[in-house]
Amino acid sequence: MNIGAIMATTESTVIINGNGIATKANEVTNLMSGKPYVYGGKNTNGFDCSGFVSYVLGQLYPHSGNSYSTTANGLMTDCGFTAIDAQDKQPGDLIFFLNAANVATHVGIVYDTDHWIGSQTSTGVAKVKFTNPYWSSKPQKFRRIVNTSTTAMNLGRGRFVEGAFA
Amino acid sequence: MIRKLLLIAFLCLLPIEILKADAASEILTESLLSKSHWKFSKVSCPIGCSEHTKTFLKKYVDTELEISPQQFKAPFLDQCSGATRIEIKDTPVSSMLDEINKSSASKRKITALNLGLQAKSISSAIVFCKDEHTEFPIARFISIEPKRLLMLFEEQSIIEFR
Repeated sequence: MNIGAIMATTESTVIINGNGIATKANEVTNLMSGKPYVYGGKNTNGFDCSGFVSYVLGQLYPHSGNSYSTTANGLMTDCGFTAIDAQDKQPGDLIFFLNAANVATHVGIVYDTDHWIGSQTSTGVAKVKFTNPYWSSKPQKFRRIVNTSTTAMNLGRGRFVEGAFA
Repeated sequence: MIRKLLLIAFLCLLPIEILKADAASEILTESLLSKSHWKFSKVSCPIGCSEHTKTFLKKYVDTELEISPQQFKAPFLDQCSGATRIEIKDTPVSSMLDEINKSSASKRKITALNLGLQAKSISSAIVFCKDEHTEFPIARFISIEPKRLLMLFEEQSIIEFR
Protein backbone atom coordinates (compact mmCIF):
# COMPACT_ATOMS: atom_id res chain seq x y z
CA MET A 1 0.00 0.00 0.00
CA ASN A 2 1.45 3.37 -0.92
CA ILE A 3 1.56 6.38 1.30
CA GLY A 4 -1.12 8.13 -0.75
CA ALA A 5 -3.54 5.27 -0.12
CA ILE A 6 -2.82 5.31 3.61
CA MET A 7 -3.39 9.05 3.67
CA ALA A 8 -6.61 8.70 1.70
CA THR A 9 -7.83 5.99 4.09
CA THR A 10 -6.89 8.11 7.10
CA GLU A 11 -8.58 11.18 5.68
CA SER A 12 -11.78 9.27 4.92
CA THR A 13 -11.88 7.67 8.39
CA VAL A 14 -11.38 11.07 9.99
CA ILE A 15 -14.77 12.07 8.71
CA ILE A 16 -16.51 9.27 10.58
CA ASN A 17 -14.78 9.27 13.94
CA GLY A 18 -14.52 11.99 16.54
CA ASN A 19 -14.76 9.84 19.66
CA GLY A 20 -11.50 11.28 20.97
CA ILE A 21 -13.02 14.77 21.10
CA ALA A 22 -16.17 13.49 22.83
CA THR A 23 -14.12 11.51 25.36
CA LYS A 24 -11.94 14.52 26.17
CA ALA A 25 -15.07 16.68 26.56
CA ASN A 26 -16.41 14.15 29.06
CA GLU A 27 -13.11 14.14 30.99
CA VAL A 28 -13.26 17.93 31.30
CA THR A 29 -16.92 17.67 32.41
CA ASN A 30 -15.91 15.39 35.29
CA LEU A 31 -13.14 17.81 36.22
CA MET A 32 -15.47 20.82 36.18
CA SER A 33 -18.49 19.27 37.91
CA GLY A 34 -20.28 21.97 39.90
CA LYS A 35 -17.95 24.86 38.99
CA PRO A 36 -19.93 27.86 37.76
CA TYR A 37 -19.90 29.34 34.25
CA VAL A 38 -17.49 32.27 33.90
CA TYR A 39 -17.97 34.75 31.07
CA GLY A 40 -14.71 34.87 29.05
CA GLY A 41 -13.38 31.88 31.03
CA LYS A 42 -10.88 29.81 29.07
CA ASN A 43 -9.40 27.50 31.70
CA THR A 44 -10.42 25.06 34.43
CA ASN A 45 -11.13 27.90 36.87
CA GLY A 46 -14.31 28.39 34.85
CA PHE A 47 -15.38 28.31 31.22
CA ASP A 48 -17.76 30.10 28.96
CA CYS A 49 -19.17 28.07 26.05
CA SER A 50 -16.52 28.78 23.43
CA GLY A 51 -13.77 28.73 26.07
CA PHE A 52 -14.77 25.16 26.95
CA VAL A 53 -14.81 23.99 23.31
CA SER A 54 -11.49 25.71 22.53
CA TYR A 55 -9.95 24.19 25.67
CA VAL A 56 -11.05 20.64 24.74
CA LEU A 57 -9.74 21.03 21.18
CA GLY A 58 -6.56 22.63 22.50
CA GLN A 59 -5.95 19.61 24.74
CA LEU A 60 -6.20 17.32 21.71
CA TYR A 61 -4.39 19.50 19.20
CA PRO A 62 -1.86 21.51 21.22
CA HIS A 63 -0.24 22.90 18.06
CA SER A 64 -3.42 24.64 17.05
CA GLY A 65 -5.21 24.90 20.39
CA ASN A 66 -4.53 28.58 20.86
CA SER A 67 -5.68 29.47 17.37
CA TYR A 68 -9.34 28.51 17.91
CA SER A 69 -11.74 31.39 18.17
CA THR A 70 -13.03 32.28 21.60
CA THR A 71 -16.52 33.19 20.42
CA ALA A 72 -19.26 30.78 19.40
CA ASN A 73 -19.80 32.58 16.09
CA GLY A 74 -16.04 32.69 15.45
CA LEU A 75 -15.90 28.91 15.85
CA MET A 76 -18.89 28.44 13.55
CA THR A 77 -17.27 30.44 10.76
CA ASP A 78 -13.77 28.91 11.28
CA CYS A 79 -12.56 27.38 8.00
CA GLY A 80 -11.10 24.48 10.01
CA PHE A 81 -14.63 23.09 10.38
CA THR A 82 -16.98 21.76 7.75
CA ALA A 83 -20.80 21.99 7.84
CA ILE A 84 -22.68 18.78 8.74
CA ASP A 85 -26.40 18.06 8.47
CA ALA A 86 -28.15 17.48 11.79
CA GLN A 87 -29.04 13.89 10.90
CA ASP A 88 -25.34 13.14 10.18
CA LYS A 89 -24.00 14.45 13.49
CA GLN A 90 -21.51 12.25 15.34
CA PRO A 91 -19.53 12.35 18.60
CA GLY A 92 -16.92 15.10 18.45
CA ASP A 93 -18.90 17.37 16.11
CA LEU A 94 -19.67 20.88 17.30
CA ILE A 95 -23.26 21.99 17.87
CA PHE A 96 -24.13 25.68 17.52
CA PHE A 97 -27.24 27.46 18.76
CA LEU A 98 -28.33 30.51 16.81
CA ASN A 99 -30.29 33.62 17.73
CA ALA A 100 -32.99 35.30 15.64
CA ALA A 101 -30.31 37.05 13.57
CA ASN A 102 -28.73 33.67 12.68
CA VAL A 103 -25.66 34.41 14.80
CA ALA A 104 -24.25 31.58 16.94
CA THR A 105 -24.64 32.52 20.59
CA HIS A 106 -23.83 29.13 22.13
CA VAL A 107 -21.67 26.14 21.25
CA GLY A 108 -21.11 22.63 22.58
CA ILE A 109 -19.62 19.26 21.59
CA VAL A 110 -21.70 16.29 20.48
CA TYR A 111 -21.08 13.54 23.08
CA ASP A 112 -23.25 10.64 21.88
CA THR A 113 -26.53 10.09 20.08
CA ASP A 114 -28.50 11.53 23.00
CA HIS A 115 -26.28 14.24 24.51
CA TRP A 116 -24.06 17.19 23.82
CA ILE A 117 -21.68 18.82 26.33
CA GLY A 118 -21.25 22.55 26.84
CA SER A 119 -20.73 25.25 29.43
CA GLN A 120 -24.08 26.89 30.19
CA THR A 121 -24.71 29.96 32.34
CA SER A 122 -27.14 28.01 34.53
CA THR A 123 -25.01 24.97 35.33
CA GLY A 124 -21.45 25.44 34.10
CA VAL A 125 -20.02 22.49 32.13
CA ALA A 126 -22.66 19.78 31.79
CA LYS A 127 -24.16 17.11 29.57
CA VAL A 128 -27.41 18.16 27.93
CA LYS A 129 -29.92 16.02 26.06
CA PHE A 130 -30.70 16.86 22.44
CA THR A 131 -34.33 16.80 23.54
CA ASN A 132 -33.75 19.48 26.22
CA PRO A 133 -36.84 21.72 25.99
CA TYR A 134 -34.91 25.02 26.05
CA TRP A 135 -31.93 24.21 23.83
CA SER A 136 -33.92 22.20 21.30
CA SER A 137 -36.19 25.24 20.83
CA LYS A 138 -33.30 27.18 19.28
CA PRO A 139 -32.08 26.89 15.65
CA GLN A 140 -28.99 24.68 15.46
CA LYS A 141 -26.06 24.05 13.12
CA PHE A 142 -23.36 21.40 13.19
CA ARG A 143 -19.68 21.51 12.24
CA ARG A 144 -16.94 18.87 12.05
CA ILE A 145 -13.25 19.47 12.48
CA VAL A 146 -11.29 18.74 9.28
CA ASN A 147 -7.70 17.86 8.44
CA THR A 148 -7.09 15.82 11.59
CA SER A 149 -6.34 12.14 11.79
CA THR A 150 -8.54 9.50 13.40
CA THR A 151 -5.53 8.34 15.38
CA ALA A 152 -4.97 11.80 16.76
CA MET A 153 -8.65 12.15 17.55
CA ASN A 154 -8.78 8.81 19.32
CA LEU A 155 -5.50 9.09 21.18
CA GLY A 156 -6.02 12.73 21.96
CA ARG A 157 -2.81 14.11 20.54
CA GLY A 158 -1.17 15.42 17.42
CA ARG A 159 -2.51 16.91 14.22
CA PHE A 160 -2.32 15.56 10.71
CA VAL A 161 -0.35 18.10 8.73
CA GLU A 162 1.01 17.55 5.23
CA GLY A 163 1.01 13.79 5.53
CA ALA A 164 2.68 13.54 8.93
CA PHE A 165 1.66 13.72 12.56
CA ALA A 166 2.78 17.02 13.98
CA MET B 1 2.21 -2.57 64.06
CA ILE B 2 0.33 0.31 65.71
CA ARG B 3 0.25 2.09 62.37
CA LYS B 4 -1.21 -1.00 60.72
CA LEU B 5 -3.88 -1.32 63.41
CA LEU B 6 -4.76 2.36 63.08
CA LEU B 7 -5.01 1.98 59.30
CA ILE B 8 -7.29 -1.05 59.62
CA ALA B 9 -9.46 0.77 62.16
CA PHE B 10 -9.65 3.78 59.84
CA LEU B 11 -10.59 1.65 56.84
CA CYS B 12 -13.27 -0.15 58.85
CA LEU B 13 -14.79 3.12 60.07
CA LEU B 14 -14.60 4.92 56.73
CA PRO B 15 -17.75 3.46 55.12
CA ILE B 16 -19.74 4.21 58.28
CA GLU B 17 -18.57 7.83 58.14
CA ILE B 18 -19.52 8.06 54.48
CA LEU B 19 -22.95 6.59 55.25
CA LYS B 20 -23.36 9.09 58.07
CA ALA B 21 -22.42 11.96 55.74
CA ASP B 22 -24.92 10.81 53.09
CA ALA B 23 -27.67 10.40 55.67
CA ALA B 24 -26.86 13.80 57.17
CA SER B 25 -26.99 15.37 53.72
CA GLU B 26 -30.41 13.82 53.10
CA ILE B 27 -31.76 15.06 56.43
CA LEU B 28 -30.34 18.52 55.68
CA THR B 29 -31.96 18.51 52.24
CA GLU B 30 -35.31 17.42 53.67
CA SER B 31 -35.24 20.02 56.41
CA LEU B 32 -34.24 22.83 54.09
CA LEU B 33 -36.76 21.90 51.43
CA SER B 34 -39.94 22.42 53.38
CA LYS B 35 -41.97 20.67 50.68
CA SER B 36 -41.24 18.50 47.67
CA HIS B 37 -43.66 20.10 45.17
CA TRP B 38 -43.27 23.73 44.15
CA LYS B 39 -45.11 25.92 41.66
CA PHE B 40 -43.31 27.96 38.95
CA SER B 41 -44.47 31.36 40.15
CA LYS B 42 -42.66 33.89 37.95
CA VAL B 43 -39.57 34.63 35.91
CA SER B 44 -37.41 37.74 35.98
CA CYS B 45 -34.47 38.94 33.94
CA PRO B 46 -32.75 41.53 36.19
CA ILE B 47 -30.03 42.34 33.65
CA GLY B 48 -32.05 41.54 30.54
CA CYS B 49 -32.47 38.32 28.60
CA SER B 50 -33.58 37.51 25.06
CA GLU B 51 -37.19 37.49 23.92
CA HIS B 52 -36.70 33.80 23.11
CA THR B 53 -35.79 32.95 26.71
CA LYS B 54 -38.61 35.06 28.19
CA THR B 55 -41.19 33.52 25.84
CA PHE B 56 -39.87 30.03 26.51
CA LEU B 57 -40.03 30.35 30.29
CA LYS B 58 -43.42 32.08 30.41
CA LYS B 59 -44.94 28.92 28.90
CA TYR B 60 -44.04 27.10 32.12
CA VAL B 61 -45.59 29.50 34.64
CA ASP B 62 -47.86 27.52 37.00
CA THR B 63 -46.16 24.20 36.17
CA GLU B 64 -44.76 22.06 38.97
CA LEU B 65 -41.24 21.36 40.16
CA GLU B 66 -40.60 18.23 42.20
CA ILE B 67 -37.51 18.20 44.36
CA SER B 68 -36.45 15.81 47.10
CA PRO B 69 -33.24 13.90 47.88
CA GLN B 70 -34.50 11.06 45.65
CA GLN B 71 -36.32 12.92 42.90
CA PHE B 72 -35.92 15.99 40.71
CA LYS B 73 -38.35 16.86 37.94
CA ALA B 74 -38.87 20.16 36.15
CA PRO B 75 -40.76 20.20 32.83
CA PHE B 76 -38.43 22.76 31.25
CA LEU B 77 -35.21 20.87 32.12
CA ASP B 78 -33.69 17.50 31.22
CA GLN B 79 -35.01 14.64 33.28
CA CYS B 80 -32.16 12.78 34.95
CA SER B 81 -32.04 9.19 33.76
CA GLY B 82 -29.51 8.21 36.46
CA ALA B 83 -29.21 9.04 40.16
CA THR B 84 -29.94 12.53 41.45
CA ARG B 85 -27.86 14.20 44.16
CA ILE B 86 -28.47 17.59 45.74
CA GLU B 87 -25.55 19.51 47.19
CA ILE B 88 -26.62 22.30 49.52
CA LYS B 89 -24.28 24.88 50.97
CA ASP B 90 -24.51 28.10 52.93
CA THR B 91 -23.17 31.02 50.93
CA PRO B 92 -22.70 34.70 51.70
CA VAL B 93 -25.08 36.63 49.44
CA SER B 94 -22.17 38.75 48.18
CA SER B 95 -20.27 35.63 46.98
CA MET B 96 -23.32 34.26 45.23
CA LEU B 97 -23.95 37.60 43.50
CA ASP B 98 -20.28 37.78 42.43
CA GLU B 99 -20.60 34.31 40.95
CA ILE B 100 -23.72 35.15 38.94
CA ASN B 101 -22.37 38.48 37.79
CA LYS B 102 -19.16 36.83 36.54
CA SER B 103 -21.31 34.79 34.18
CA SER B 104 -22.51 37.83 32.28
CA ALA B 105 -20.97 40.23 29.76
CA SER B 106 -23.44 42.90 30.84
CA LYS B 107 -22.28 45.99 32.69
CA ARG B 108 -25.49 45.81 34.69
CA LYS B 109 -25.20 43.74 37.84
CA ILE B 110 -27.70 41.61 39.70
CA THR B 111 -28.19 42.90 43.23
CA ALA B 112 -29.64 41.46 46.43
CA LEU B 113 -32.55 43.89 45.96
CA ASN B 114 -33.29 42.42 42.48
CA LEU B 115 -33.65 39.01 44.10
CA GLY B 116 -35.52 40.19 47.18
CA LEU B 117 -32.76 38.92 49.46
CA GLN B 118 -32.38 40.53 52.86
CA ALA B 119 -30.19 38.07 54.78
CA LYS B 120 -26.40 38.21 54.53
CA SER B 121 -26.14 34.48 54.02
CA ILE B 122 -28.33 32.07 52.03
CA SER B 123 -28.65 28.38 51.34
CA SER B 124 -27.94 27.56 47.71
CA ALA B 125 -27.91 24.20 45.94
CA ILE B 126 -26.73 22.36 42.87
CA VAL B 127 -28.69 19.38 41.59
CA PHE B 128 -26.43 16.74 40.03
CA CYS B 129 -27.33 13.87 37.74
CA LYS B 130 -25.11 10.81 37.62
CA ASP B 131 -25.12 8.55 34.58
CA GLU B 132 -22.76 5.64 33.98
CA HIS B 133 -19.83 7.86 32.93
CA THR B 134 -20.28 11.27 34.49
CA GLU B 135 -21.83 13.28 37.27
CA PHE B 136 -22.92 16.68 36.03
CA PRO B 137 -25.13 19.56 37.23
CA ILE B 138 -28.64 19.91 35.83
CA ALA B 139 -29.95 22.80 37.93
CA ARG B 140 -28.67 25.53 40.23
CA PHE B 141 -30.75 27.08 43.02
CA ILE B 142 -29.35 30.37 44.20
CA SER B 143 -31.61 30.63 47.22
CA ILE B 144 -33.58 28.06 49.21
CA GLU B 145 -36.05 29.65 51.57
CA PRO B 146 -38.98 28.18 53.52
CA LYS B 147 -41.55 29.66 51.12
CA ARG B 148 -39.50 30.36 48.01
CA LEU B 149 -36.89 28.80 45.73
CA LEU B 150 -34.86 30.85 43.25
CA MET B 151 -33.37 29.00 40.31
CA LEU B 152 -30.73 30.43 37.98
CA PHE B 153 -31.62 29.72 34.35
CA GLU B 154 -29.95 30.69 31.06
CA GLU B 155 -29.00 34.31 30.28
CA GLN B 156 -29.09 35.08 34.01
CA SER B 157 -32.85 34.71 34.12
CA ILE B 158 -34.23 33.86 37.55
CA ILE B 159 -37.16 31.54 38.14
CA GLU B 160 -39.12 31.85 41.36
CA PHE B 161 -40.94 28.86 42.79
CA ARG B 162 -43.48 29.10 45.59
